[in-house]
Amino acid sequence: MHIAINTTDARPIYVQIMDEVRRALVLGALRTEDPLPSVRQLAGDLRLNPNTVAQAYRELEREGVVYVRRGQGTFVADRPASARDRDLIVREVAARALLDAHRHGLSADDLIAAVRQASDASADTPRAAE
Amino acid sequence: MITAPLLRADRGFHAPDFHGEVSGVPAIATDGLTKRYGRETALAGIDLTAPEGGVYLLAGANGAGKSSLLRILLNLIAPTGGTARVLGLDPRRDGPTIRAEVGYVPETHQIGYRWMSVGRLMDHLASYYPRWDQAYADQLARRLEIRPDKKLGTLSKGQARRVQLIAALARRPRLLMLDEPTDGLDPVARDEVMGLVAEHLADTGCTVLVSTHLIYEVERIADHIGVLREGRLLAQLPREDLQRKLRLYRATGPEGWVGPADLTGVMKRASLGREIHWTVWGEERDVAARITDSGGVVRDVAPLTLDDAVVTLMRAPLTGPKDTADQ
Amino acid sequence: MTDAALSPPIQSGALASARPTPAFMAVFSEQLGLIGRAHWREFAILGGFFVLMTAFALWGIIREGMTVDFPQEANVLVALFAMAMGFTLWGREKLFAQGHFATLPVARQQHLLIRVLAGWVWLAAIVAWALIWIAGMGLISGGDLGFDRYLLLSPPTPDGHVALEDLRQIRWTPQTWNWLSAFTTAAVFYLLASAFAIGVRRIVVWSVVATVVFLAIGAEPTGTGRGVIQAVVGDPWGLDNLFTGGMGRADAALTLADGKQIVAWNAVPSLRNWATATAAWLTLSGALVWLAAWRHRER
Repeated sequence: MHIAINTTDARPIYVQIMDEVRRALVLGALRTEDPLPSVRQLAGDLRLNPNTVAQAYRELEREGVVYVRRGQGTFVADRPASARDRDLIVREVAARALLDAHRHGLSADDLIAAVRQASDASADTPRAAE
Repeated sequence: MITAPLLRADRGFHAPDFHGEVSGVPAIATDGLTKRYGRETALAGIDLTAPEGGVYLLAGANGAGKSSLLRILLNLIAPTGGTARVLGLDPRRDGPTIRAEVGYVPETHQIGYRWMSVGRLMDHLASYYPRWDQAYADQLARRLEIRPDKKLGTLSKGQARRVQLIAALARRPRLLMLDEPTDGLDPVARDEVMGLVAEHLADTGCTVLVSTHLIYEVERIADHIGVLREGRLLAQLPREDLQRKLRLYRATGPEGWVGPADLTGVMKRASLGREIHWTVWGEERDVAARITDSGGVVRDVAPLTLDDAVVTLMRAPLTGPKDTADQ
Repeated sequence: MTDAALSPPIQSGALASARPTPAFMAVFSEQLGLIGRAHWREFAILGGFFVLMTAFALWGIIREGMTVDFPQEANVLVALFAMAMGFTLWGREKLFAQGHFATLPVARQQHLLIRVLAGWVWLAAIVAWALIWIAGMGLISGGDLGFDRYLLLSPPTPDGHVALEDLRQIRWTPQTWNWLSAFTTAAVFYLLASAFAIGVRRIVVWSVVATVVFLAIGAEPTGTGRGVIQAVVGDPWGLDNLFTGGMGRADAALTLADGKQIVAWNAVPSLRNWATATAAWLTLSGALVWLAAWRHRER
């Protein structure tokens, strides 16, 4: 699992870590009972404050996404469906896109229309059909 | 004095308080710390609080007094006034204990004696620090590619810095005081060092006070920020507060629109055609509401990078009742 | 010095139970090792010097039948060596710039005194070695290290003439305190130099000032000058007593009735003279070192 952190992102770093874990779950990069990297390892690799990583893991645990096995580390929890994660991510992507649209003076309708158009266009190309 | 009110109104800047609530048991707490060298004032009443287990970034231009402050905390120099507590101890009474508990990387690149080999330096430090962890020191030396037979007198600046870091970490301190820790290091070594510090934090939960002007390097690690300028602690707050309260607003408005007249806490204002950019200190909701009320459309609100935020604070006019009246 | 003096007690449970500061012996033995290692070149030169001296002495003893006198007045050399050592030890420490030494976790005044003590151990060892060497040479030459002197029993006439019956030949052999005087002389000058090197910020400037003042007094021994020199060199606390118990001043150049020039002692070097001066100088130099270290105290 690769976690990417962007310090220019508006989201606090611990939220970025949580989002990255959720993204990995949705993509299937992380599955039930998979271990998450240890706080020490993730903090060391990403040069992060371990408290930040621990905070992200705590929040994920509180949401039931992961659980802690004493002395062994943090693991992905066995949950009925990842629909909620997917839902969350979709909403977040949409919110980001809307914000970007707003920044450029575009309305939500402009954006939706443009997304449809782009989606149709890419469906025509052989690459996207694969 | 007659023109003063007019100028003050023009400036539209009312000294915001850049100080936030620093909670938790303080590892370092100073109260009105001052230091004067002759007529030169290095520190003018510093009230610094660094919570235990946190990473406190002490930012400031060269000569802002960072090194003096660190040296006072270790009782290497005596303050002119004020008091300090480090790990609950008074440096002036318990300087030796504090120096034993603190891993200190000084501003200079000097360590030990020129004739010493790195290995001999380790033995030297082991006899001075009862908690010296030689296995850890060896491991750090391997990772930082420092050969134990290398003579200290032949070390480059970057190598000396790495040896200083090994010396500071391997004594297993409760507090790390790093004065420009990456000074003289190449980019790869800088990255490696920040990784080591992060791992060390995870392993030991120790507190860090890091003074640097290369803020982007500690951007991911720092959780508390102090900005020192001309001997004063201009700002001190948790990093989240800084990133929440200091934001860049971009707004557009109708022809001739100049933005709200009652916008307070503006640190910087720039415009691109009809789009106006403000860097504002305040709660996002209030600021956005004022911009909207004046007829503008807020296009974007973004937090600043830590680097930009600190630079903005360092450039902020030094305020206070006297300063504004004099303008 | 006790361990308690070295590190203050740990406060109100703010710290972990194990003491983070080093014990006295750890610091002392580390300093002992450091001094030896940092000055191995000087020690090597010293060793070479001894080898050379041994060769010369053996040559003299075997070829020329030379006997070895106890070199009581060589204490001047001991003093110079001890002084050089005091300066060498602190030459590179940058005490006033908070260098490496100051950042170590030991109360600074005590730390300085520990290093002075460690340096003194080396100095005492070198002096002991020199004395053993002298004793050895004496043994080889078959003598008792003593020498013959004329002792003047009554004062000479004002023009320096003396009658033969007023002179008695005596044999002087070194007493225990004569051997000890090498150690005390070394200690005093080592401490004086250390005090200077530790306590003075601009060593070169103050060395020049001290030399100029000393030369000025020496060149013009007027009222005050004479007084100062008398105090530093003469009775009862002067350097001559410190070095030899008064041997230098005991020498008197005399003319016998037949016009022959001789040198005789007008007094025998005394333990009392030596003990008085030594006590005074040790107290003074010790206090100066303490004061010099006090300048660097934690405050």
